[in-house]
Amino acid sequence: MHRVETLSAMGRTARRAGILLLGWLIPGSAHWVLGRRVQALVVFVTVHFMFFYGLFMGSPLHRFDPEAPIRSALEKAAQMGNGLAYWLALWWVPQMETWPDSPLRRLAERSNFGQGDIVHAWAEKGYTFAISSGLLNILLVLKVYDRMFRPRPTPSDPETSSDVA
Amino acid sequence: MWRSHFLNMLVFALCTSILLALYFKDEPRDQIRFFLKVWVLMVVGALIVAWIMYFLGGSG
Repeated sequence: MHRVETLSAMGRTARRAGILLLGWLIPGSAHWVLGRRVQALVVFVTVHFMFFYGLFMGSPLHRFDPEAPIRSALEKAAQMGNGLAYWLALWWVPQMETWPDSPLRRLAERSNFGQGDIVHAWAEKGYTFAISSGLLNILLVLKVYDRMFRPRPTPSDPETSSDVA
Repeated sequence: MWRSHFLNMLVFALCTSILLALYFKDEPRDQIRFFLKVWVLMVVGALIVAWIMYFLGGSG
């Protein structure tokens, strides 16, 4: 009996960890799993819009820089908060070299997509967009974590509530 | 991409206040009120700070 309870608790923990991981990789998906579909769509659209809009403004895609390890690691971590979109953009920037005549390439060149060229006047503002979206997504995943581990409501304490068992 | 500082500030405040409303509030009605309040505060606050900086910033 005790073993069954332990396995059940482990399964519950694994499920919760999976939801949090999913919420990080695909912004809004954790809300979707919790049944908050409208919020999930709003988070998905807003985070991705902010991130890609920032990159189209010329924000750099951060990589680890040994000359400024702390700053570059923090910037990279903040952008990685956007989940899969960060790796998609990392893959996308060099790929554009292989499509010389595509409209996407022209648009990317015009907007300095992901290059972080400081002479480009909008790069600094794009940087703010791309970093903030990642940090806000991490914040929303932490809220899901809080919601999942909040105690279930009891008749004596109606203030507490939870969406996930 | 809009090449307007003011428009980009409005868009940034819009996106940020949407996500902050989802973080801080649970009920849709509260979220909308919180979103509007934060968005207006961000925009008005930025304009006030911009005018203060304009008068204090010198000729640079």
